[in-house]
Amino acid sequence: MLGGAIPNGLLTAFRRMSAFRKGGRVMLDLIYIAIGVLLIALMGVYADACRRL
Amino acid sequence: MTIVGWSQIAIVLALVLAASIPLSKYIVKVMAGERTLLSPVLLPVERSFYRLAGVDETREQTAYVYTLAMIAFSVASFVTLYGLQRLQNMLPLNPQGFDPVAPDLAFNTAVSFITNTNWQNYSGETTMSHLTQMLGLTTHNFVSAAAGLGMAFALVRAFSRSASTTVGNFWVDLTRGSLYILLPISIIGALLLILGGVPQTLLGSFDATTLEGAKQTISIGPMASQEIIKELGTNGGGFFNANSAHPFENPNAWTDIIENWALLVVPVASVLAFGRAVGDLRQGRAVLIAMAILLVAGVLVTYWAETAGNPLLTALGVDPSQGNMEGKEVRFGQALTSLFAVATTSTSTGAVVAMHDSFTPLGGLAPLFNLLAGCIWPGGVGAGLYGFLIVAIIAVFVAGLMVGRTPEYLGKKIEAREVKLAMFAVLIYPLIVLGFSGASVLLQTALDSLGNSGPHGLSEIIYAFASTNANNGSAFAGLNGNTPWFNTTLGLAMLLGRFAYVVPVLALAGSLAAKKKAPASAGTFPTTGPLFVGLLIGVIVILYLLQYFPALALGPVVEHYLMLSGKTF
Repeated sequence: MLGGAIPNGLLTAFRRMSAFRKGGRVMLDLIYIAIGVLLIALMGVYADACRRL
Repeated sequence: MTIVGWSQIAIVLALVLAASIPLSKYIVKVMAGERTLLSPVLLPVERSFYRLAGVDETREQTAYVYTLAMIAFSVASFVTLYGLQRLQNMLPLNPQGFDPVAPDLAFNTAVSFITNTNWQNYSGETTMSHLTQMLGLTTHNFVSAAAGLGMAFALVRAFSRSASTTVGNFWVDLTRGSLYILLPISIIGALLLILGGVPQTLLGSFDATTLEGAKQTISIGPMASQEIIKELGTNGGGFFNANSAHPFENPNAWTDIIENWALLVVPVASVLAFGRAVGDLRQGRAVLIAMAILLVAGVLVTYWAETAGNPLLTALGVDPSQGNMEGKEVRFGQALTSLFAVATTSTSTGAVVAMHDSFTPLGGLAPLFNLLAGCIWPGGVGAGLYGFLIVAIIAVFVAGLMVGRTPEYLGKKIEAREVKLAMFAVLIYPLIVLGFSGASVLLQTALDSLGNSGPHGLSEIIYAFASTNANNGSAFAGLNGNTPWFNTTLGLAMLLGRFAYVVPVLALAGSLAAKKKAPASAGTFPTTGPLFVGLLIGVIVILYLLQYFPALALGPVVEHYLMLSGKTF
């Protein structure tokens, strides 16, 4: 059940994103910039964790 | 397979080795900040960069600060490259008037180029302005490669120093790698490519009349300058969607040899430079021999499988004498195509001279395995060296377990912390590749992107995530990756494949640098001989072949047997 639920949830999220895309590109820009910046910045936390290992 | 074909392969590899020896000496000097032949010209330029950025070149960083500097640089690079694509319609050097790149595609492309992947979900000739190509993409071809080289040398310094708190300065490594190593070779290489017929112009396109009288718009642009650093920096992002298979990017066998040489030369030289930097060239030689055996084994598999051909095509009446020529360029032939396919996936280049999707199942298996292992023989600029040194650490750990002694490598004791960090790095790859591939095969929106069904479709998905995760960027070509699902997940695979891998590597560098260098004793496991080479290869087989065996069995292996029984996908 879980194996199907997660991808289906992601699919719904992506469908909404595609619909959202038509209306608000600036918002979508902010989402993608946030994903990239946060994920790379999170690596600083990972680096700190590795340092303290 | 023919003698002539193997001779072509041998000539390219010999040219790489011949150039790598002097280049390795030069790399060691540059990364140590010693004076070189180019210093009178480049030193003032280098110092002006430091003055402009407020960098003190004499001040080294701890591994943690080095990592933070790399992360800060990557964040800034990501935001500027994303913005450049989204605003290209308002910026100069857009002679064809291209629209802004779509947000999901801009995200994917920005991540792709800052991570040295160059996965392309777009056709450059119809999507990117000249400014985006030159200022955005080509610039990152230099700096992402130089960053990789810097990180590798942080690890090399950790081995060569005793009880040190620092591993180098990220900003200095980045500047020196770009300015002294990549830029001069690129200038010479671009001129050679122009001589070979690769265009270099700021014009956008021109119209031609075909023999049938139709009008055809032909895209041109600053190709030679992008082409050389695409290979030299093991980037792989082509000006055209067809990449190095396009006759403008790679017009003939001569340019093909230059490009094949360029994508191997810096990674090979870096390995020899590692040996020189740690004060024992034999250490670098042993690692290089292990890499070379794996590389040549891959070429052997692909060359054999492609020349053996596809029995289904033979049954249709296609002349089998040339082997499987589907998706290949006649001007390169089987041998150079096989070498390029394996070399581009053994390094993290990802440029292609043929469509890997059209290879026979076993012919495509070797490039796919190279990707799954993280492209480390000889690997990307810097990335291959630190990737293989991680394997070396695991290898000496395994040897230590077998003989019951504390393992050591290059005089540094390998203890629990180092092995944990090495395993963090190694295990992130299967987690990403198998995790995202598994999610994709369950999603109809992802399956709709496939060009083929059955095991070949599975190979297309695994190849895409393996390629992006290993920061390679080559595509199997049957998968349409330009969808919100793949643009986003492949982007995440690239980010995690680069940063989640290199963070523990740099932490490992910090840990090793702090240790005292112990002199070799009678109980030290020798890491320069054939036994160590065999152990390295054995560890790679155990680590990677077993990790991915189920995926490979369900993809190319089962497809091979189905092909023999007359079924295609």
